[in-house]
Amino acid sequence: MILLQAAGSSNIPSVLFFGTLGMLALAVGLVIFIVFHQRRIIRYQHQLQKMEEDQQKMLLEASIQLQEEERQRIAADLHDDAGPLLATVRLYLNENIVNLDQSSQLQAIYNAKQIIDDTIQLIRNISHSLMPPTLKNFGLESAINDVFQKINGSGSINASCRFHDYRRRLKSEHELSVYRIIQEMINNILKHSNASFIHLTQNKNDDQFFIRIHHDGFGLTQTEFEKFKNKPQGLGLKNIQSRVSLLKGQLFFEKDPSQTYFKISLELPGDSFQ
Amino acid sequence: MNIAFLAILVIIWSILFFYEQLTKTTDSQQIFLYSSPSFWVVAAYLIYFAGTFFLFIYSQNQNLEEQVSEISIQYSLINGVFVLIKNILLSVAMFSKGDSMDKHPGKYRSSTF
Repeated sequence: MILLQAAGSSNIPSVLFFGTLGMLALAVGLVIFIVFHQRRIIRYQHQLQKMEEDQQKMLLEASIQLQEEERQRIAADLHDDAGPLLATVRLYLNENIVNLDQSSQLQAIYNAKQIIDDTIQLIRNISHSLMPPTLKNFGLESAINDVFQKINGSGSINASCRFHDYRRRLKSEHELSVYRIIQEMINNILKHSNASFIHLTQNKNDDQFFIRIHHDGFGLTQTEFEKFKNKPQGLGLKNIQSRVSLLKGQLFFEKDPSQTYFKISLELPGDSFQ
Repeated sequence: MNIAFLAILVIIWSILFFYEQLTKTTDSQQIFLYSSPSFWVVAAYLIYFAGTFFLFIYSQNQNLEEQVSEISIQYSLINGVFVLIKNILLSVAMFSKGDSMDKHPGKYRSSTF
């Protein structure tokens, strides 16, 4: 205003007047731009942070849900299988007390023994599915070999695995995680991909641990993995992701350039070793 | 020293300062620029020197003996306006609370917009 008045009242040259106004506008514009730009950056960062938090939360929820499902499964196994078997044994033994005829007593005891054997087998299966004994005693290599042998035994799919350098074992909890990841991935491959072969290789270089799985079925690429991982339904991939991030590892899904097979690589840092 | 040159230097330095502030915010440090006094100080000098830049150039090139009184009136008027703006911004800087993060860690971190 004052400037305008000054321009009007006295004969300030228009160069000076417009130059000053222009510079002023530029300076003020710059300051305003900086402020708004910074606000936008901060807002963007907040959004990013929130998205990350959301994803973390989703992973956490998935792992909790998986745990619950696992518990339900164990509870169902115990309740539906072991419970009735033991109740039947109790019935046979009860009959022993009532019935004093020796031959029928023997028969009842024999039956009870059979059922107890069954129960033992059942409980052993349950505990093995919870924690494979080979993994604990002989390490990841043997456990994975076991899994692959079992798959091969079915005859419908050609599965092979090869450990190139596994002289140093991973920490036991890491071994368990890697085992679960591989199990879940193999499970997915068997269920969804319709593959005819699965090949797993392990390698180590510069203190890094690699697992690569090849298969020739209909697999996932990295973008598909990201997409499925963020969907609310489906626990398997989320669970794999949360285990991988727990191990501070990295997981890549690729399609081979020749388009004939899919490759999944898992990399773990060197501090996972014992 | 030539005052126009000085003005250019100040403007360049202020722009550099802003640029640095912008690149700094991409790190973890998340404070709004206008909550720090240094932002207001720099803005004050940037606007002052940008505004008076042409005035300085003009007054240097004038033949002062001819129209002393008129020039000096114009000069002091425009200069006065910008000094006023500058001083207002400086006082804003003084009244805005310090950006000493070590004293109040997290106090000026933005939680709401």
